[in-house]
Formats: sequence, C-alpha cells, structure tokens
Amino acid sequence: METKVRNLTVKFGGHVAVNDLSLDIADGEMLVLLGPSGCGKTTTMRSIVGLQKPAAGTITIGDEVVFDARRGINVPANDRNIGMVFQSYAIWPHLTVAQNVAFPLRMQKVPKAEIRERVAEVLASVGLQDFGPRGASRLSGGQMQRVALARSLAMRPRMLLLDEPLSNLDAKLRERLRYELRELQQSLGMTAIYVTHDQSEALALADRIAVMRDGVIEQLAGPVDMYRNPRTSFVADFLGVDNIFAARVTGHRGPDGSHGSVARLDGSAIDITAAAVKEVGSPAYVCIRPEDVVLTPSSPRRPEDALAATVVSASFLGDRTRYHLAVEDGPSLFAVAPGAEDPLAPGAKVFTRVPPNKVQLLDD
Amino acid sequence: MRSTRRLTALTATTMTLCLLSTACGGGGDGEAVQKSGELAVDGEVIASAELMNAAQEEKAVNVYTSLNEVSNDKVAEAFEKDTGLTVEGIRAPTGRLMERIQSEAGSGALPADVITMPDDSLFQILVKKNLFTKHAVPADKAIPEEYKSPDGLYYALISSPTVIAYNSKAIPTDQAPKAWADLPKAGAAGHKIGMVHASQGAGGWGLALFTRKKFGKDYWQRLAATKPRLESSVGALAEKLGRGEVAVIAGRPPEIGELKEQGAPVDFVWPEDGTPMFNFFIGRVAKGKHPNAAQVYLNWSMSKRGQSVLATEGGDYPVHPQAAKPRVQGKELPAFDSVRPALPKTEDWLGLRNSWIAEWNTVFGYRS
Amino acid sequence: MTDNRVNASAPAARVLQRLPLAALAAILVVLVVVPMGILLYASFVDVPPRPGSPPGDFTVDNYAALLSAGNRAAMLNTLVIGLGATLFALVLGCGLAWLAARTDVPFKSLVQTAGIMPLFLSSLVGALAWSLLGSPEQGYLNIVLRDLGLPDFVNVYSIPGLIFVSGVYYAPYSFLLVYSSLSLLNPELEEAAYVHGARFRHVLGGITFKLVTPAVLGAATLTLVFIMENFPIPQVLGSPEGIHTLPSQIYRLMATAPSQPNQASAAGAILLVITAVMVFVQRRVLATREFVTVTGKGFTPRPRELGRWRWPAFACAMLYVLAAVMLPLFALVQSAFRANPYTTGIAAMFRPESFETEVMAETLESEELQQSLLNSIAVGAGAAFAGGLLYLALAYYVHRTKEPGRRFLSYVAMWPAAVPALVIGLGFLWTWTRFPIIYGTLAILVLAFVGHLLPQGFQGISSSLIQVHPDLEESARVCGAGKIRTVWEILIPLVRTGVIATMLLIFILSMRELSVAIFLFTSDTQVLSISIYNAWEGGRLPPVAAMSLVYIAFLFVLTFVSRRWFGVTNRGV
Repeated sequence: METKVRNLTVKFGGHVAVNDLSLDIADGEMLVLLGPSGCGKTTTMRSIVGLQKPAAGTITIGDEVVFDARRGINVPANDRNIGMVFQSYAIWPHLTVAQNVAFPLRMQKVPKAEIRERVAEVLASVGLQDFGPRGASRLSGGQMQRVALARSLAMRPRMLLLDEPLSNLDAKLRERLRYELRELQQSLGMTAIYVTHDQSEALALADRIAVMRDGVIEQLAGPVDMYRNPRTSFVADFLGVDNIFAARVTGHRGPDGSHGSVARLDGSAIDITAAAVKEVGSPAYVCIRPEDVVLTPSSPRRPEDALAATVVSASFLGDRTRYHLAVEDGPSLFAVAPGAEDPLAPGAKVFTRVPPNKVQLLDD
Repeated sequence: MRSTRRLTALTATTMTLCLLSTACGGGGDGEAVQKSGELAVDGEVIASAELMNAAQEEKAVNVYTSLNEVSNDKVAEAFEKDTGLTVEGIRAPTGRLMERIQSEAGSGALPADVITMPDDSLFQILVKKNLFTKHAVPADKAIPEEYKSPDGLYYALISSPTVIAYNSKAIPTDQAPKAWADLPKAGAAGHKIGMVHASQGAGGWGLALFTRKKFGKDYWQRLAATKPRLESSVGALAEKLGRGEVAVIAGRPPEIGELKEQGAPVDFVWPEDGTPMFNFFIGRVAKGKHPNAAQVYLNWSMSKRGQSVLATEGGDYPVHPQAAKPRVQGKELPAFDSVRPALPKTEDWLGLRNSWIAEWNTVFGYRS
Repeated sequence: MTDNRVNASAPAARVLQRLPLAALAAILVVLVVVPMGILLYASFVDVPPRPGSPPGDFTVDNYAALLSAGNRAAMLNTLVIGLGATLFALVLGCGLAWLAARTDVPFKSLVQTAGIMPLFLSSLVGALAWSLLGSPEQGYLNIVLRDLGLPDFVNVYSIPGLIFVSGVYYAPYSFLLVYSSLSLLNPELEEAAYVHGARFRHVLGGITFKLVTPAVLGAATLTLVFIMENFPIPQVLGSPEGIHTLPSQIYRLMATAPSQPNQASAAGAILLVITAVMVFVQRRVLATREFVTVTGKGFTPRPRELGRWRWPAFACAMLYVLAAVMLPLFALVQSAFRANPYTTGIAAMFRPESFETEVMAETLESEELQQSLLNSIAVGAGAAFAGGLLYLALAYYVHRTKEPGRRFLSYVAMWPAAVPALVIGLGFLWTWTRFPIIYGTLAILVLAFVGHLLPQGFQGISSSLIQVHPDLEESARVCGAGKIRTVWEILIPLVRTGVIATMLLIFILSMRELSVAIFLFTSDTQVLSISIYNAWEGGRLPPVAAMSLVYIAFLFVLTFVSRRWFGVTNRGV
C-alpha cells in the first residue's frame, strides 16, 4: 500500500536520529534503506511500524494516518497491520513453528480452521510445509528466517518491513534467499521496506534505494541510476567505489571547459581529468571505480593522461583480477582487470589511465 | 482469620490436655476446683465466679516475660490447666523484651496484659511510664511488705538465687570454689570461669553489685585477669559448663540440676559468703485487652498455688510464705534464710547501676 | 482501541501514565527508604526512635561513643574478619569453580555439588555446629585430638576461627558467580594463549581469571558485604571470647538492658556506610570492565588435564565438604542424639547406650517446632510470591519500558544490598510498630524479607528478563498483540523458569534468614531460625541441634528440588 512519510523527526534524548525525513513508497514497491549503522535507517523503519514514537512528522499508510505528532495520533504497532521481519528473527522459542505463524492470525481473531489453512499455505510458500509442529528453538538460521517471513506474510500485512533479515546468514544462503525474497515480494505485489548496510543486497533487491546518512536521505534513486550517478562521495563510497580522493579543481580542458575539468589531488602533484565541469578552485572528491581503471604495461600514447604505478599486490578472483597499485608520488589506487589471464606480479611497473568520462567529481 | 484459627486450635489442645489430665486423676500439686464458677485451689480462692466468667469470655491472657523457658512453660501449662485460659505472648531475654515493650507501648500497640521481668531499674522505667494499673491479689495479705510495691502497682514474683556451679571433670570437686572469694583463685589456677555480663540482665548485674560491695573493685580486677568467659544468658553458660568448656560458673540451681539429670558431671554449692538474689516482678498492664484474664493470671501467680508451681518447677524462691519449698529435680532446696541470701538495697541497685556497669565493662574489657 | 490513538497529552492521561512509577516508587520508599531514614535519624538524636517518643535533640554523641577507643575494636574486627574471610571464601570458591568448570577432576558433578552444599546450612547453623566442634577444651575436635594423644589446639572462638567459619559458609557465593562465568568463557581465548607460547600458570592467572575478573570482583564485594553484615557467626563464635563485630555490637546494644537504640543506630549507620561504599566501588570498578568475551553462547570447553594432581584436587574438594557439611552434621547429630552433654572421649561419642532419640522425638512433636516451621514456610512463600510480583513489575518497568524514573528505581532497588540485615530489622521495628495491623503478624516479616532480598530478587528476574531479546516482544506487538497480551503470551512464558527460580531463591533465603527477623518476631510469628537462636541463647543445646537438623533437612530438600527442577543456579546471588 502506498505510504507517505512527511517531516519525520526522531530524537533519543538530545540526539536526533532521524531529521525531518520525507519519503514516499509506492504501492508494490520495494524500497531499500541503505546506510551505515547509526544513520537512522532502522529508526525510520521502527517509526513506520509503530515501535518508535517520533518527535514530529506524519506517517500515512494508504488513506490512514497512523502517526501525526501535531494531531496527537499514534496508532499502536499492534493496530497498524504492518509485517516485520526482525534482524534476530524474533522467533518465539516457546512456541512451535506453526504456533509462531498462527500468532498474528489469532490476534486478528481469525477462526481456528482458517488459521490452520492459512498457516499451512504460508509455510508452503516459504518451503517449510513439514515444519509446523517443530519447536522453534531447534531451527537453523535460514529456517528461522523463513519462519519469520512466513509469520509476517500470514497476517496479510499492508506492507512488509525487513530489518537486515539476511545479515545473520552465511554468504551462499544469503544470496539464494535474496532472490527468493525478491521473487516472493514481486509475486505478491507487497509493498516493502528493506533495511540493510550491504550495497550488493540493496542493488539486487530494490526498486528504489534511499541512502541515509546522519538521519537524512542523502540520495533516493533507482539502483541503476544511483550506481551510475552517485550524488556525493558518501554515496559513491557506499556503492563500492574504492578510489575516492580529496582534490581541488585547478582548471578546465578545451574551450570554456568543454572537455571537462582538471583536478589536483590533495597532497600530491597529480592531476586527473574529469568530464564534468566544475568551477575552478572548488573542492571536490575524485571518484573512480576500480573497473574503470585501464592498465597498460607499456607507455601509453598520451602520456599526460597516464600515471606510472607499481603493483603492490594482486588477488586473482577467477573472472577478474583485483590490483592494489601504488601511484608514483601519489596515493594507492585499486583497479580491476577483467579476464582470466595471469595476474601481474607484485613490483611490476604499469601505467594506469582513467577515461575522463569515468571520473566523477563529487561533493562530500 | 489466622490467629482466630490458631486460637481455636490452641483452646482445643488445652481442653484436650485438661480432659486427659483430669482423666488421669489430676496430678500436679493443686487441684483446680471450680464450684459455681469460682476458681479455688486447695481451698484458696483465686478468682471469684464473676471474674472467672469475664476472663473466660476473653479466653486468653497475653504475658510478656523474661522468665527462663523451662519455668515459663511449666507455669503456663499449670495456669492453663487450672483456668482453661490460654497463655499467649512473648518470652525473650530481658533486654530484648524491654526494647519491644517500649516500642510497642510508644505506639499504643502493646499487646501485653501482664509483664513479668526482673531488675528493679528496668521495671521502674515501665512503672514511671504509667504502664501498670493497681491490682490487689487475694493473697495480698499473706505477701510480706518487702515484696509489694508501695503504690500497689506490682509485686515481686520470685527471688532467684545465683550460685557457684562447677564441672567436676574440669575441676576436681575438692578444688572447686566454695565461696565467691575463691573464684579468682580458681581462675588463676587455669580453670575457666564463666559468668553473665553485668549489662545483660538482673543476674549479671546482681552478681557484679554483690561482689563489688563485698570485696571491692579489686575483686573484679583479679577476676577479669583470669579472662573469664562472658555469656549473654545463664542458660548458655550452663550449657557450656555441661560440656566442660568452662569449669566454674555463676549459675542458677534449676539449670545445673537439669544438666546433672542428663548425666553431666556438674554440681553446685551455696556460696559460703552469701547467695546473691534478685527479684522478678509482675504487673498488670493498664491498657491490656484482657483485663479480667490478666487479673486471674496475677491472682494465680501470687497465690499459694501459682507460687508453689514457680518454686517446685522453676526452682526459684517464692514470695508467698505458705508456698511449697523450691525444688530442683525433685530435691528440695535449703530454706531461704539458710543460704545467706543477699538481696541488694533498691537504692544501690538503681543508683549504682549505670556508673558501675560502665566500670565493669572497662575492667572486663567488655564495652557497649 | 480508539483511546490508544490519542496522544497522552491531557493532564489526566499523564497522571495515569505516571501511576506505575508512583506505585513502584511508593513501595520502594516504604520498604527501603523509610526504615533507613528512621535509622539514620535515630543515630543523630538523643532519644530512641520509638513511636510516641519526643523528636529529641541533635547530637553526635552516639558516634562519639562508638568511636571511643574500646569500641573501635569492633570496627577493626569487622574489617579484619570481613577481608580475611572474603579472601578465604574466594580461594575456596574460585578453586572449586575452576575444578568443576574447567578440569578433568574425578567425580566432577560431586565437586560441583560441593560448591553449593553449604548453602543449606545457614550461617547460624554452621556457626552453632562449629562451636560444638571447635570450642576450646571440649569441642569435639579437641576431644578427638586429645584422645589421639595430640595437642588440643582448635579454637574457633578466635579471629582465625571466625575467618575460617565465615569463609567456609560464604564460599558458595563466589563459587556460583565464578563457576557460571568460567563455564561461559570461550575456551578459544585460553587456547590462543597456549598457541602464543603461554604456560599453564600464565594462562590460568593471566587469561582465565583475568577474563572472569568481573565475576571474581563481583563475588568479592558481595562476599565481603555479606560477611561484614553477618550477625550469627560473630554472635555465636565471637562473643564468648569478647570478639565483637559491628553487627554483634548492634545486637548487644539493643539486647542488653537498658538498650541503647541510638548508639545501635549509629553502629548500623557506620556499617551501612561501609557496605554502601563497597557496593559503590564495586559498581564503579565493574562499569569500566565490561568484558564482552564472556558470552551467553554455549561452549564445550576442553577440560584441563590435571595429571597426577587429579586426586589431590578431588581430595581438597572433599575436605571442604567435610569442613562445611559433614563435620557440622556429625556435631549436630551428636548433640541431638546424646543425653549427656559431657563427652569424655571418642569412645563415648559412639557408644550405643549413650544414643538417645528422646530429644529428637520431643523436638519433632513440639508445637514450637511445628509452628515455627509452618511460620517459616508461610513467610518464605509469602516473600517469594509478594517479592516475585514486585521484582517482576520492577524489572519490567526498568528494562522493558521507556518510562521516566527507570534509573532511579533500579538504583533504589539495589540499596538493600548495602543495608545490613540487622539494620533492616531495626528500621522495620521502629517504622511498623505504628501499624499494629501489620506489626506483630507474619506480614511484617514478609515485608522485611521482600525489602531485604530486593537486590537478589530484582537482579534475578532482571537477568532472565534481559535474556529475552526485546525483538521477541516487539514482533508480537507488530503481529497485532497489545501490551498486556504480549506480556502474558510472550514474556511471561519466556521468563517463567527464571521467575520461578528467583522466587525459589527468595523462599530459600527467607527460610535461612535470622538477622532480619530477630527484632520483628512475636510468639505467634516465631520462625524456625528464631526458635533455634532463642533456644541457643537459653542454652538448650540438644533441641537446638535437633531443630537445626530438621532445618537442614528442609533446606536440603528445597535447595535440591529447586536446582533439579527449576535450575536455580547463580541467579541473584
């Protein structure tokens, strides 16, 4: 269901955890809140579900205002009908799997026969059809995660909130469940908010991503758009841009800067050319994805774009090789070379080049 | 609810006991005869029919006492048997009892109908607080003046002697002290002496007062030099004598008699240089909830019958001249006057108490 | 449900919201603050704090009297015995805990049991039994030694004797705390030290016990406070030779005539300050040492192989059982089943004709024992239920709500830990004599126990409450359950074992308690510990021994039933 958050502010004592945040979630959309711990993403989510009382703002789900600080409206969590999967799963250990899943239905006073039917149905949908009578304390992590999901789905919630639901699982399982989760959400057309600090999870799952920082949304965009055009170096960093250097714009290329700007990295004599045009003298962050760094063993044709570097270490990843390079009189640089060729040995001299259109000049 | 039920249970038990004992032919020294509701034992009228009826309405009497446990139990038993009334209340060492009485009286919540305590100095504190009410018992005329309060507020109940007792395995009988004057010598010879602190109660203070008056402060110092065992009750002291932990104590005949009966190698002597005595007092609390039962209790306690029970079962000297002679384990104690009784003067007992106990504490290294 | 939607900004609603805080605070004030206040007040005036007394004039004479030369001995004794016995108890407790938790000592479960066995002998009974065993001259140990032609040197009526007995009976507290900590310790931390070249003794001292330092420190302060405020041991073992501590002095000031309530209050206040400082220091020290390495995860630690020390280590553990349990039981049986209090030698102890069951039979049949046992059970059960409810409400409010005043409440709840039991009893006496409906009934004892055991109960229930992740309750809220429903369907079932365990602990501790009750009982409300103490004070030793045996049997059953069925372990102690 469509959800509107307006001017949400949450305070813990004197600390402002969420600051005047506004956000729209479309019906059937999966929105990922991405950010480091303490950025306010979980707090935002807990405010929506009703476990956290905000200091100001409004929250509307569908047509119902569930929270409005000024009008004194605060629908308690148990009346909001929002499903939530906790990071710890919060499976009640004193109940069986079926009892866990049936709990919200009992609270909704669904007739017993129907409860049984719906529990079986939803357990089947997460692949746990035979687990009903099992004690909940004797499940593996993946199974618990599914029970938690089943429990939230059983209540047929208006929307589903997921708080880092995969973070306690091992990498392989995490990847598999990620797809399952996405497919289930899409097939049910469930509106969902997904909180994570893992960028690959965010990119894989989201219809839109909201990157949060210090209680505000830094950037809100679709995954592709965000990956291509991070608005700030913070977003870039969070989306896996390894090479971020503080710099200052020193000049322009071409007439009126039509060929971009030149930035000098702080603390070195290295100039980097970027396609974007920025005012001379302004500070900026030079952001380069490791896969955009081109390595050439011999001296390039246009030496002014190239930087001499030494291989510090190389890690062979099968389909690509990741290098840690030391740029002469400059910073460390990470590069990824595609293909399965033999990696360069540490100490090897290389030249690096980054096409100006792959260099981003971003604000902090 | 609870106390009612307990009361019923108690009454039932008492009544069963009564029935049993009458069935067995009465037993005991006196025969409680109740003709037309009057309480009389062996012809001595203890309570009128009117008083008895009123007391029986009240069912129970609440007694706060620091009488030793054995005497107290026997007295209660005999009283319950004679009267059909139940004895409730508290038995505690004098100091603890005193603190409780003062706290409870202060809040107007003192449940006691009757208080039985030794030590003039403490009893006078209660008297001064107007805790007691006048009451003349039927035996009043028989009781010598010295055992009656001038204002009629209380009586002396019994006189309790302090004697020298010893364990013959710890000290040979021929070496055992025969007089208080011998005590420091025996102690110096390596025999552990035991006594009750002067501040603990009437017994301790009575002995301290007696020895100081008779032998001077020097006696205290010589005794203290033997590092005597100081206990807080004469019962605990007797028990240590029985086990041989101490060789000689200042004790009471009944406890020694009981130990002897149990087979412990103990005995006691009537000291040649005098037997310190102290009195227990009894008074009726003015605001008690069972005024009639309290009167019956007081009447009974001061009667020939009650006094005889105290003497024969408790081993203390009665104040009623016609009461039975005190007995310990069935053996009669010598006549009161023959044991060289030393009853301190009231003004000494009251006037010297604070300063001398402080001195005693210093001499014996016992401070409070 | 509509009322829920309205923000509680109306004044009436705000009052309603503050109601739980007000109620809890009021209960704590009544149970803790008022008795303490009266006591402190009494220590600064010249008139006893009895009801109906005039307010009195301000004075510091009470303190001056206590600080006079001769009285300083009691304070010094309290500290010397407290520190010495704590050290001894720690060595015993930690040693046993380590053996039971981390080594291949034979009969491990027996060693583990050894660590808690003395708990069912209250310190009163322990002291009484040891006075029979270790009194000079005629203590059973001395009789045996003399018979064997050895010097009869044993004397528990001495500072070392007091340290020994206190240490023996307070070792279980260190055992419990350190044992649970040691068995939760990740063994990889020790293994890492071995891998990095450390020797066994380095690991034991430098890693193992360093990591459980918070537990050891906690045990040390707790034990120290307990021992310093202990009344029965110095009363039974110290007073015969004039060795007094602050608690026995407080008792003496109150029980000797004329009593000196103001000086007793001052002594209580001094003891209170000492213990309060200890508790405060412990909290400060522990606050800076929150080691996260001791996790709740279960490990199967690799036991340390003791090699040729296996059996000697086991023998040491059994020696402890001998001193703490077997010998005292032997002494009590001797005393309860022998008519003649005087013992000539070993042969006399075992001669069948001196065996007699009369005292025991009399004791078992006596109304006094039955009534006081019933009273003990009633008071224990009352304290367990009333306390259980209060502690649960308090713990819930503090740990599970975001209401104001939580820190204050949890702070006040810990106060009684620093208040000596004797002092609580005094405070209650002076507070409650004004209310005859409560005073003189079993209810006053229940109230006093609930107040006295507040820290243990609150911590016990808190620890099981904290173990329940808040997510479990929040997810129930999200699933549509209201607050009360959540508590009822989720929280209560999850903490049930913990709450029952704590209630049983309160029950057991109440049953053992003497000092709180000694100023509060009446003849109708005499509890078992009081009956034993009174009989001891009256010198009736055979009944004392007989009642003690009944007492031990009862506590034994209770302790083991609760351990077996409800897993009462270290909660709250």
